[in-house]
Amino acid sequence: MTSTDAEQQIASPEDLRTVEALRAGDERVFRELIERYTASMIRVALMYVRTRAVAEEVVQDTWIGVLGSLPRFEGRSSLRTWIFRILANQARTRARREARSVPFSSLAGPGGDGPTVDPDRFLGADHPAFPGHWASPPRSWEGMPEQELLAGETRERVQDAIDMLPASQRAVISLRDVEGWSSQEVCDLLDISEGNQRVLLHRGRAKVREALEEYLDGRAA
Amino acid sequence: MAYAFTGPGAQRPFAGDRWPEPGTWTDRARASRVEHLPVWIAAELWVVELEGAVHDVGTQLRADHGRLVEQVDGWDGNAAAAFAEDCAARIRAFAARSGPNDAMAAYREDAASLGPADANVAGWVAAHAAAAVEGEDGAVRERSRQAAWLAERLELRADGRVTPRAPARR
Amino acid sequence: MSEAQGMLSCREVVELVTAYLEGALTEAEEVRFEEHLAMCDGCAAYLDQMRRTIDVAGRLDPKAVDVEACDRLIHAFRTWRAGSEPEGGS
Repeated sequence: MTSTDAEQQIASPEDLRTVEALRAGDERVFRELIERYTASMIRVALMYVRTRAVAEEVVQDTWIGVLGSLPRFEGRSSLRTWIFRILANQARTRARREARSVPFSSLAGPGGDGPTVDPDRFLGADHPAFPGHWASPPRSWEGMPEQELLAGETRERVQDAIDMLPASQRAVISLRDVEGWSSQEVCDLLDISEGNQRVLLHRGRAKVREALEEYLDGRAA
Repeated sequence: MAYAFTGPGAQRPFAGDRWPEPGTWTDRARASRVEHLPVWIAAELWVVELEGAVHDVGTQLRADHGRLVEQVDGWDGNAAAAFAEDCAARIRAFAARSGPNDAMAAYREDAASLGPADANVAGWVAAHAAAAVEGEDGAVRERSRQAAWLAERLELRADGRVTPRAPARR
Repeated sequence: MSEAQGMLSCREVVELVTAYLEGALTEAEEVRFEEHLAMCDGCAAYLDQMRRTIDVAGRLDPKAVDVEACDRLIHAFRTWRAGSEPEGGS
């Protein structure tokens, strides 16, 4: 999934075909579309609204809105970007209407900006020779058989770890690492800076790595 | 020409990929001059050719393109072990010159268990031990000594001259 | 070349991993980061683990949509289709 750095990706020929098919009433194409994007849309919606139930409603409303807006799709952005922008607008509107929405100040996520690796794993700052170095370093996974990492259960653990992240970290890691969005695309959609996005990605990835390490080390033991 | 340490199988350190086979150009080449080699010690040592916008960033040489030329066979487990042992001796010597010192005690203890796989760490500890006794200059001298050790042992070109050329499209 | 100044500890390195992978460090910072990894198996392993974690994440399938939600959307689609094509789409 490539994208130009500065601008939104314009609609691909595939995007235009999809829109045409939808306008012609092709139900199969619509089903494929909702299957591809809905889970991600729910995660993004959860950055703005509090409960999953409300997020699901927002996503439903978004799809209705997408259908109604199809005549206005001009292909100046990719179809995906266009859909998610409608979603983001719907989510923000809904959040404003809801009495208790998730304030943007919590975008950094709980835990603020503390260390992402348990400090106990490092030697103290007062260590005479190796301050701040690993006390219990991570093991290399290079010797691990390929199928271990590719196994379904490994993927499940990673998915679980992602699902347990705070909403904004979860959304960013899902868009970036699971779905393959570029940094620019994520920042544009969520209207956050590169720096903010990187912090969310960093914290999310650190937790997922830790969960994966626990799982794999447990198997190796 | 310059030199590049790599992981086993010409694995590019930290990049998560490998150098292509010798002769084939690749982008984002990283290498070092002889004088800076010790900090980059790893499993294999290669002669590399660099091309296009070659520039120094501290101890690293960066270029638009590079390719492996040939492996420096002399850099093997024996050489690494010899390097580590040589550094261990230096560490013990520095320790002997320093007064009671927790850091130095830790370095010396570390030195006792340095094997061929620890060649890089051995160099690092030796440089730190030198700094503890002789200050920053001591560390610089120790690293220079290590570089000279490698150059002599492996018959490396001491000038570490790089011949940048105008990029020739391949 | 300064050995002692600007040396990174492992605790600092693990907080720079994402910036490194994103290409957000300056060249000088990158080299210092890589110098540390050259001498530190623990941090080299950490970076490798991070890369593999990202790789596994990239292999996750999009989650299945709730059947009920999907049905509702298909229903909505049909309604929309019927409404927007007065001559009757198929």
